[in-house]
Amino acid sequence: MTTPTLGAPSTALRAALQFYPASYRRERGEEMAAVFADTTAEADRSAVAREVFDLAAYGLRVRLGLTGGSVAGRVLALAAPMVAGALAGSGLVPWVSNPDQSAFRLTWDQSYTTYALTIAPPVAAILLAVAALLGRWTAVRVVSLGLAFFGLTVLAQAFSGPIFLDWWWAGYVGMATVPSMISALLLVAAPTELLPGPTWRTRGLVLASMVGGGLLVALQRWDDTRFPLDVQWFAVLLIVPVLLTFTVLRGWLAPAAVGVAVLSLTTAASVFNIWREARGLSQLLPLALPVVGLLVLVAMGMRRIGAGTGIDGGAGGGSGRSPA
Amino acid sequence: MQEPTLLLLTALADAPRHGYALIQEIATISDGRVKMRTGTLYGALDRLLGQGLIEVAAEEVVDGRARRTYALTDAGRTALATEAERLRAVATEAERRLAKVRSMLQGKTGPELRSTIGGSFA
Repeated sequence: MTTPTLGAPSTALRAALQFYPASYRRERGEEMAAVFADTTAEADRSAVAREVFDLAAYGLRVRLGLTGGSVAGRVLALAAPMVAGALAGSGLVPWVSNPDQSAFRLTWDQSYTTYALTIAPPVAAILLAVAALLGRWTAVRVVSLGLAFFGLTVLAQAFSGPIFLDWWWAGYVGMATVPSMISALLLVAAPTELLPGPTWRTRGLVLASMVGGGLLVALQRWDDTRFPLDVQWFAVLLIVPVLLTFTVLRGWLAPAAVGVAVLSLTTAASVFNIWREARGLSQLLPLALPVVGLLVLVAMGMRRIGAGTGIDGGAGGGSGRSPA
Repeated sequence: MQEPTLLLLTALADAPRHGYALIQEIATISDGRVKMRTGTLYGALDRLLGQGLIEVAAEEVVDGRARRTYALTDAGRTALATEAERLRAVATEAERRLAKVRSMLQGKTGPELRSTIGGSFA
């Protein structure tokens, strides 16, 4: 589309449009700038700022391939109730599986910090579950980002502990904190317009994921020796959900969404435990490279079989719900 | 169908419209409740274009501004009609049930009213 320029667009508008890929900007930039000019003509500064943020956010989605029309966006929207439920369930694990130990932490000292660090995660998990059950996705995102920030702080402390760059300790802490960061990113990345309403199906999915996610995390807890997992099981907890995500190559969105939700909880623990059991990267690579190669072959095979089954179109292979 | 999608298709039901006109029309249809922002609008337009529910009807330059006009496709009209029929069926059923309760409550007050409502669900 060839059009004259609109006049000098504001710095904020130009900056927001920079988030879009160049090809998209060429195709739609002038048109979007015109709509932006009309919508902000009589708006105050805060309304203009919201418009700019919204424009930039969609640009980032287009650039990352996470729009409501993309396969990745639809998988993330399907996975969102499961990710939120699983994260909530995992946050409640210490209080459900070992309430005495959690209560004992409160008696360590009388500081507000101890109280806050002990009570905040389960309270946030309950808030997260309630928000997900009610279909309040903005609240779900805010709470999950809060949990991610909390996890990031704890992880940063682990890295800067008495022994600088203690990878073992950081790995242990990371097993407990990285899932919240991955989950928050997935929930923020899911296209808002595709997130499901508070139907009974969604609520059931959230509740089932709370139970499933809680059990999965309880199983992986490194400080609980009641259910010690062999390293093979950590490989299974990594490889099986990865294989599930490959189903997207055949246009099956629902199993891929399950894979994404499981991976949000198992990736950190699996990678760390496999690395730990292999006793270093040099021992791990000869084992891991053939597995990764095999997974790539499986993905290529599924891609070839799945060609033409609608993974790029609106059909979605019949496994996902209509994105309209 | 999510509400923004429904509103967007409804805004295009009677005539093709360009971006800003769609934002204004959606605000009117929703009685000012939904104020669609530019990024959100183009997200929805891209998705509906991809699904074949809308199409670009015209590309022009008006007052030095680029303007694309969007219109419903046949598939979009069918999808909107189906959704309207579904919503009409739900609304009719809601009105029927409310009317039934209203007729039972006529002339009743206080505890009598509560026992009538309770009894109707027993």
